[in-house]
Amino acid sequence: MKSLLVLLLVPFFMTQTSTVEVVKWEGLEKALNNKNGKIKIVNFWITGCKTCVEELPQFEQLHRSFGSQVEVILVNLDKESIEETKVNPVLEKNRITAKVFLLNEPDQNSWIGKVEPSWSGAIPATVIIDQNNNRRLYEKVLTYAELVKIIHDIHKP
Amino acid sequence: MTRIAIFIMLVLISINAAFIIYAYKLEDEIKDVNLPNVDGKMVSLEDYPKAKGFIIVFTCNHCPYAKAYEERIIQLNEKYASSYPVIAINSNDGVAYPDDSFEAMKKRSAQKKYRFVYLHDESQAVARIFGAAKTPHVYLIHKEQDKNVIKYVGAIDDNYSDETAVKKHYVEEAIAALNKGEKVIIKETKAIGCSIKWK
Repeated sequence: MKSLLVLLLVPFFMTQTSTVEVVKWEGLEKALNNKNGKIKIVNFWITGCKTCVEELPQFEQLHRSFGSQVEVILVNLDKESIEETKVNPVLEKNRITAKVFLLNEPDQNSWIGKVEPSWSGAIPATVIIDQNNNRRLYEKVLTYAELVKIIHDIHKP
Repeated sequence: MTRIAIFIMLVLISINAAFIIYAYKLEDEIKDVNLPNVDGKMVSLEDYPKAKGFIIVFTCNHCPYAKAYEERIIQLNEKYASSYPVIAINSNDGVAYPDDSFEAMKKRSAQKKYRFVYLHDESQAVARIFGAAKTPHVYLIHKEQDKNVIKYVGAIDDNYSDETAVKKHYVEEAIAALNKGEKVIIKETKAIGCSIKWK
């Protein structure tokens, strides 16, 4: 009986919080261009941005509910030096299991336009990339309902 | 009834269009800015007859990027106060973000001993007309035949996190070019910043 309980509980403990992968632009670009047939939800955030952090749970929910259709990519823009002290605690608190990159590219002018030419660089920002690499920029907080609607709209023929 | 609805919709669309149409672009002449300073006095660009131009920077108290650049904004003003004084403007909604209220601006300015004006754009009209999207967001203005013309838009430099690792001082390089009567080479840059908190 006891072992059965342990077996039932295992899946809960197995959903471990994501480990941050520190990348340069080339690394992120590769992930954004990776053709795996999924819609990519790419969110840019920092720990010091309150609205960005408040938005994280819904991206995680999206990852858990629509994981087979969408790939959630959380791009953290904090300094690498605060990864352990600031970034990881936020991920643990919000039980983030979606992919997390820390983009270590302080020369922001070199890459912002490559993500999406119309992006001013303001965060919170989310770029949604469909299967044909068409990119939609949302320079604002998105609600879960809005995110789901965007995914449905992309799926419509 | 539907006519009224259509009319209202058209009005709303034209209001939105007005915001988009009137956002400044490079080389545009800007209108004067009339906003209250943290000392309670109204400030106009005409208050600076001897200035060659202005470093207008949309900034605020709460944003980590604005904080990271605060010292550099102070330094820019120290260096260029007599030729290109800093005009700092906070357009954030101070109700939703109390750290960016007019009272909080006054405190910040006093605490950090700002020697430049820190203006409150409560209606957000100035941010709208400039097309400012985030903090910090710099517009370098050059006086040309009594017109205030935008010569550079974007970041202060190319490294927000480590001042000692900066390779390109965009604002200073643009001012140096203007002082030599040359064209500004890098006219526009992008940088991460906190979105302006619209009402």
